[in-house]
Amino acid sequence: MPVKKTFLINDLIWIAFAFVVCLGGLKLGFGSFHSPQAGFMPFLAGLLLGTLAIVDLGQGFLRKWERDKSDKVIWADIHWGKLLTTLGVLILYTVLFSTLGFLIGTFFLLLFLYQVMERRSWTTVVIASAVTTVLFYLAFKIGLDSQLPRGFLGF
Amino acid sequence: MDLINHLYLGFAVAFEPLNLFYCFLGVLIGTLVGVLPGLGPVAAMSLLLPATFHTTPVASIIMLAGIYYGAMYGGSTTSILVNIPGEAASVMTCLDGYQMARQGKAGRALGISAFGSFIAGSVGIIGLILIAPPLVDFALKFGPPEYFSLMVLGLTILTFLTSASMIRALMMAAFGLIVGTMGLDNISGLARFTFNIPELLDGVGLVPVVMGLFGISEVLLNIEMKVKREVFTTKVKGLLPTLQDWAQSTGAIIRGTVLGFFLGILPGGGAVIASFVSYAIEKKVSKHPEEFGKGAIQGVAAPEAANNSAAQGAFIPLLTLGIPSNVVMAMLLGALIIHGVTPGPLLLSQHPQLFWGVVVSMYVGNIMLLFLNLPLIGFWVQLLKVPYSILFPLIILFCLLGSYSINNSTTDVAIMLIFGVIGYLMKKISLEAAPMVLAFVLGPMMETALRQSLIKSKGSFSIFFTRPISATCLILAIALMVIPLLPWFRRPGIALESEDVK
Amino acid sequence: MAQRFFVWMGTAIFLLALVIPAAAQDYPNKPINLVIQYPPGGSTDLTARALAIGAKKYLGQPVVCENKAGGGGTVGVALVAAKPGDGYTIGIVTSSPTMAYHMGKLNFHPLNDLTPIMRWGNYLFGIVVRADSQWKTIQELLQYAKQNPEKISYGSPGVGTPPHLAMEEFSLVSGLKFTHIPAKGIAENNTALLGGHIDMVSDSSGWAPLVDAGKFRLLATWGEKRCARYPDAPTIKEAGYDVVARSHLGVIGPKGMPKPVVAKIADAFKKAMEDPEFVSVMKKFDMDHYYLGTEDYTKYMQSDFENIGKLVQKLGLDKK
Repeated sequence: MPVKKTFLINDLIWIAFAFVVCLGGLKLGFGSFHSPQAGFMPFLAGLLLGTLAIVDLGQGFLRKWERDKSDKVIWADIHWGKLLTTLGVLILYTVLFSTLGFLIGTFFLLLFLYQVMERRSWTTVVIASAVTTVLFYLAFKIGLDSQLPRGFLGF
Repeated sequence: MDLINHLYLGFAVAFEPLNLFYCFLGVLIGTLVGVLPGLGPVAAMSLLLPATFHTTPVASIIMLAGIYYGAMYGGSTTSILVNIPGEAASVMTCLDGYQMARQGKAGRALGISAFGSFIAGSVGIIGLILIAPPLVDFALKFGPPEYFSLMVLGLTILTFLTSASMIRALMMAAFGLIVGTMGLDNISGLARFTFNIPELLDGVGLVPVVMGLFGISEVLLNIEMKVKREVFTTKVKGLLPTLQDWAQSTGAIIRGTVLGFFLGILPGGGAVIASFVSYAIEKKVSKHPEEFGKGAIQGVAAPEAANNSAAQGAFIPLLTLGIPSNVVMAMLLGALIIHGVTPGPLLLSQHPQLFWGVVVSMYVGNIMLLFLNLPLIGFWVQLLKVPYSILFPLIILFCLLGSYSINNSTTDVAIMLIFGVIGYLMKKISLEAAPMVLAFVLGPMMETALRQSLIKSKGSFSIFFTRPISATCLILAIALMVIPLLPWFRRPGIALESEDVK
Repeated sequence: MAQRFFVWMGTAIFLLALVIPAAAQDYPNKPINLVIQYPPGGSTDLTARALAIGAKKYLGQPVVCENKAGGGGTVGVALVAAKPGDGYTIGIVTSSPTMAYHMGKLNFHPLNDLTPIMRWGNYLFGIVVRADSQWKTIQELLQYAKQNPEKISYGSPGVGTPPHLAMEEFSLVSGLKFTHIPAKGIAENNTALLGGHIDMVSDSSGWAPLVDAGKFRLLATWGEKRCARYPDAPTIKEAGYDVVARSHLGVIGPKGMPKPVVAKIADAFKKAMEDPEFVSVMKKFDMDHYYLGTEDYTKYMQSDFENIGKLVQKLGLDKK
């Protein structure tokens, strides 16, 4: 039996998610087919998702997973460090956006991003980050009059 | 004939220097706004509305309208170049357009997109002039039961979007339906799945979801690679569409235009649905459906034509009845009122110069857009030559700021990032995003239509079958689902389940 | 060495001392944010913006409008409530948050978490039917409704909106029953009525152009008095039922705003109400000037809160 862990976990996650959604739908009130309430659609959609995931799971066990890519192929050669730190930095940027303000936050974000893929000299990165930040600031703030936040330092 | 007089009046108005200027300004701003992901035409229009107080009503409407259809042109640019839909209606363009860009065919994709949009826009305007009133009457006959059946038909079309497992595509659609329920339920007033976050009361925004699923996920995919991979080939194969491209795309453009126009007239219909449906239909009628998703030029031509003609079609309910078919039209409605022009059935008779002037200026605007976009193609192609390691921080920054500026809220940025991760994972496992997005857009409308119909019919389902339009749609939908399963209709090359065809 | 240090410290403190009083200067010393809780281009948005432009003259600083729509007009107000009460973030409010609160859908308190500043306007709500419908007057409609309970379908801009609650209250008072088909705004209602999918619409004055064009007929309005633009249409009150649609348009701020700041804002907006541009925009949307100063508005919000609470309870819409 060709168990592909990735796809197995995938289907299980969907089943669990669908279950939670169904519960949520019931809590909102299903109503009846004659007068659907708020939970009608969520419940039915969750049911559909869950059923399909179970069918997919079943098909998988019945050898259909043979057609899917193998676990090794999917997760080969992934630079987890880069990926996760990038994500982490993006999340941090989003959370601190208002506190730091656009200019400072973006500057630091770019310092990181410009070297994620290729290591560069610090001078290049600092200059590039500064220039980019200013250009974006001009474009968005002045060109489009967006309301970009000022940080606690006032700019 | 009366029409000639009207057109003459329209041309006279549209070519007044003031109006020409505002037309150009509008389409220019529209293009810029369309290129910048996140910022939509509505934001630009609301910023510029006060500025229009000081000019004539005609010039204001010309400019604001120009922003709208200009944004349709601009939205395709980022879709093709970096897989980020500048606009929800440009999502389908990403599928093949971006692949074409990676193969060095960005110029041809951009070119066919510009030309296709122009042709579609022009035809749409002709349609607006010739058949607006009877069309509107027809569109009004669409009540909740008709909308429901139409949406069901739309969702069955989504089965044509899939290249791989039908089951998985439907799972993604179900997921889309679920995400679509998030927010305040209009009919009961209950908040669904909002986790007490006020910004979620209006549901999850389409733009952050789409930017995350397509744009951010693509960037993440490229970052993770240990092995350095050229994201874009440096060998550029032609800047403008070749004759062969044209030959292949003509049918797509025609079909997209017609489809988009009719869907655009339906209030609540519009460019997004039109682009999805036209893509699916192109794939269905193509002799090489397996090429879709890998850089088929029809996959760019059809949705682009559809979204532009839908944009023109959307003006019809506004100009003939004073009913806005989407948020952008609602803004135009407000602008008209502010300028003392009462939109409604009397608009045509009371303000003929406004009506005809705007209609003709739309054509002028389309021409301007063609001239604006074509020369830029060279510039965009050069841009792609920048090393990806420098390009992608800019892409990310665009996305972050773009999604932030929709509502000045970091919640939208967070949503985009979340869906970026989801999209990344989906891409790894080959789960498709397009069915999810279509269901996400159609789901809420379908649900509202269903519930409104059932309230009206007091729980009886027969309402869907006793009304002619609704019944037709449902029968068509059932037919579409059943026919591919019948043995004598099966065509080699169309994969139902990935295992059946090999 | 130590000397050097103290010189620097002294300079630093001196400089800081210059800065701090500057921060406590007269209000306002920078632009003020006005949060509009509906999308751009609508009646609330355009009239509020006209008011803001007028207020700028009297405040000396620009009033920058921001649209934060959603939740039927509650999201924007929630966001204002979460800001500091320093007078630099204020917002537009209607009766919608109060209604939402009583229906259990609001996560802040419309009285305790907000500072009322002043009231400036009111919408025009009415009942319209198609011009070719069988009911030529409101009385005919009500007669029909009496004989055919729940047969007449009506559209409203959404559950819990003033035109909806007005109809519900009316049902309670008159004993007449209608079928409610909620939509998402006047455009949807207009479309549905034009297409004959619903029998009538209870909504704010977006139906006016269609009435003028002869496609719709205005049967009655929901105000205290007849409206200036359509003097032939009676009010529901005149028709014999003491029901008036409750809503208003006001300016509020987060809780804890200092009184002098509130007074300054209220005064500026009051003067702005006389601005010719504001007056003409309000006219275009058939909205009435509805002024109340800070103190009276505070009392109004109180009574609005109580009245709506009772109404929601009576209608059984409270989900607490």
